[in-house]
Amino acid sequence: MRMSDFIITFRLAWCVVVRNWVVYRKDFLANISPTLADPAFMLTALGMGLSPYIGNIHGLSYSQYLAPGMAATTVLFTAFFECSYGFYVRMTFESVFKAMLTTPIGTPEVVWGEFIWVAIRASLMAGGVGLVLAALRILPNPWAVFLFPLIGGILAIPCGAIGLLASSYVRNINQFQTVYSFIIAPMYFLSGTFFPISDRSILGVIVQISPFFHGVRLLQIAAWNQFSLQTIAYHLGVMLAYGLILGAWSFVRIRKKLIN
Amino acid sequence: MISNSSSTFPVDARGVTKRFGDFVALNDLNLKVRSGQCVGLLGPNGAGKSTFIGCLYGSVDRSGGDLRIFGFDPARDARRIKERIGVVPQENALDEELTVLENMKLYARFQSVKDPLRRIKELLEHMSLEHKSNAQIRSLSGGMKRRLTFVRALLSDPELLILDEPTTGLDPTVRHLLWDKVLSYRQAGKTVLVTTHYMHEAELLCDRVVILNHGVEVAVGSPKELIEKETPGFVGIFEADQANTLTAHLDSGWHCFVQAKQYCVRAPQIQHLFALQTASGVTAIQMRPANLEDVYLKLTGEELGENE
Repeated sequence: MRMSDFIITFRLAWCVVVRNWVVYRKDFLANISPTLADPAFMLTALGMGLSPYIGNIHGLSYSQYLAPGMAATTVLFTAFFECSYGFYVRMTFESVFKAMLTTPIGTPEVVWGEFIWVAIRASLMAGGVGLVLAALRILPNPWAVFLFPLIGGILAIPCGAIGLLASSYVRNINQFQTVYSFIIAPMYFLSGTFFPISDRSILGVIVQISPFFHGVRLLQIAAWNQFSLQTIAYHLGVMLAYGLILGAWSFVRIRKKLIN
Repeated sequence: MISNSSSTFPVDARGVTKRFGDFVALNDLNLKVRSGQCVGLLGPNGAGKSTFIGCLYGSVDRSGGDLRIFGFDPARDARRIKERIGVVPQENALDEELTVLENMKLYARFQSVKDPLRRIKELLEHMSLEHKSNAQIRSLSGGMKRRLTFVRALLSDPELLILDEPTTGLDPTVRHLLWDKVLSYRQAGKTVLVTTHYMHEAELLCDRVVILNHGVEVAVGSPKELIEKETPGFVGIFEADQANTLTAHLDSGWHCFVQAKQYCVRAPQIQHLFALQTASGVTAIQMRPANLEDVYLKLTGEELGENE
C-alpha cells in the first residue's frame, strides 16, 4: 500500500469514526452510563462489601485488588458490545453500510473505522474509570491513570474483533447471548479480575489463551506498580498478536458479509 | 489499464457473470453505456439487475467477465469509481437517528465535497426539502426519504448516476418530480443507469433498455425499437367474457392474450381494432398503442418465477 493510499484509507476510516460519534452523542448519557455505572456498583458490592471478609491478597486490600480489573471490564464490555450488537444493528437493521459502501468508503475503511472508534472509546472509558479509582485512593500507583487509556485502547482491539467475528457468524441477534455466555463471560470471570488466577495451576495455564487476561495483567502491573520489562513484554506481545490475528480474521469475515 | 473508450463509454461490461454457489444470478451480460445516455435495466425480481448494479461499484464480486467503469475495474479500483458516481440504492439506508442536515453533512464528508453546506442547501432546495433540514429522518414521509436519498447521491456532482428502482412505492406526484429531475440530469450531460419495474418509467427516461430474465439478457434496444420488433401494433382490451364472441372475427396474424382478467387483442393497425368492434358488436374497454410493458410481458413470461 502506497503512503497516499494509506492516508486516504485513514481519512475515510476516520469518517466512519465521525459517523459513530455523531450517532453516539445523540444519546450520550444513556450510552455512557452503563460503562461507568457497572464498575462503580461492582466496586461497591464486591470491593467495599467483601473487603472486610477477604483480607489481603498479595499485600493488597480487596478493593485495591479489584480496581484495575474494573477498568479492564469497562474496556471489554465497551468494545465487545459496540462491535457485536452495535455493529450488527448498523449492518443488518439500519443498513448503514449499504449506503456507505456506495461512497469512496470500502470494507477496509469500515473495519478500520470500527476498530479506531472502539479503541478511542475504550481508551477514554479506561482513563475515566482510572481517574475515579485514583480519586477513591484504591490505586497503589495513582500515576497508572496515565497508562490506563493506552492499555485500554490496545485491549479494545482483540475484544472488539471478537465482537466483529460474532457479528459475522451469528444468524440472528439473539445468538449474541450464546457468544456472551460461552466466550465473554468465562473470559471475564476467569481473567484474574476477581482473584489471582495465575496462582491456580491448571486455570493459570488455560487463562493464558484469553486476550482479556493479558489486558487485565497489564493494568494490574501499572496499578500495583509491579513493572518488569519481561512481564510487560510478554503480556503486551500476546495482546498485540491477538489484536493482529483476530483483527485480520474479522476483516476477512466482515468483508464476506458486506460484499456479496 | 484505462481504455481510450472509457470517456465515451463510462460503463463497459463484457460477459459479466455472477454465481452464488450453483445459482447463476447473472450470465454473460454485455452492456455498454454511452456517455450522456440513460440506460434502463428491466426484468422481474431476481433477474440480476441489482446484482449487476452491485458489480459496478464493487459491493458484489463478479465471478467472471470483464467490467470497466470509467476504465477502472471495480474489483481493484472501486474507490476511484465511487469518487465519480452517485448511487440511489433500493433501500434508502439513511441514518434514522440523525436529522436531514446531519445525514447529508456526513455523506458530504465521506465524499470530500467542497463547501458542503452550500452544496447541501442547494440540493435540498432542488428537491424541495429545504424546510426539512432539521427534521429527524424518522419523521419524513417515504417520498421525502427517497428525495433525500437522491440528494445524497448527487452531493459529489457525479458523472454517472446509478438508480436502483428509484420510484418503487412512491406516489405519482413524487414519481413525476423524480422523473423530471432525472431528465434534467440527462439534459445536463450526465450518464444514468436505472433499474425499474415500471415500463412507463423506462420508456420515459431511457434511450436504451436491456431486459433481463433469470440473469440472461433477453432483449436490448431503444424502447421504440423493441416495441416495433417484439410487439408492434395496437392493443384492444375487452371484457374477458366476450372472448368467445371476438374469436370468430380475429385475423390469424393477430396476437391474443389474457391479462388482469381481461381479453387483449394486438393487431397491426388501430383500424383493425375498430373493424373488430364493428364486426363482433363488442366495444373495447380501451384501445392503445403497444408499449414496453407488452414487450416485457412477452419476453419475461407472465408467470411468477421461483423467486416470487
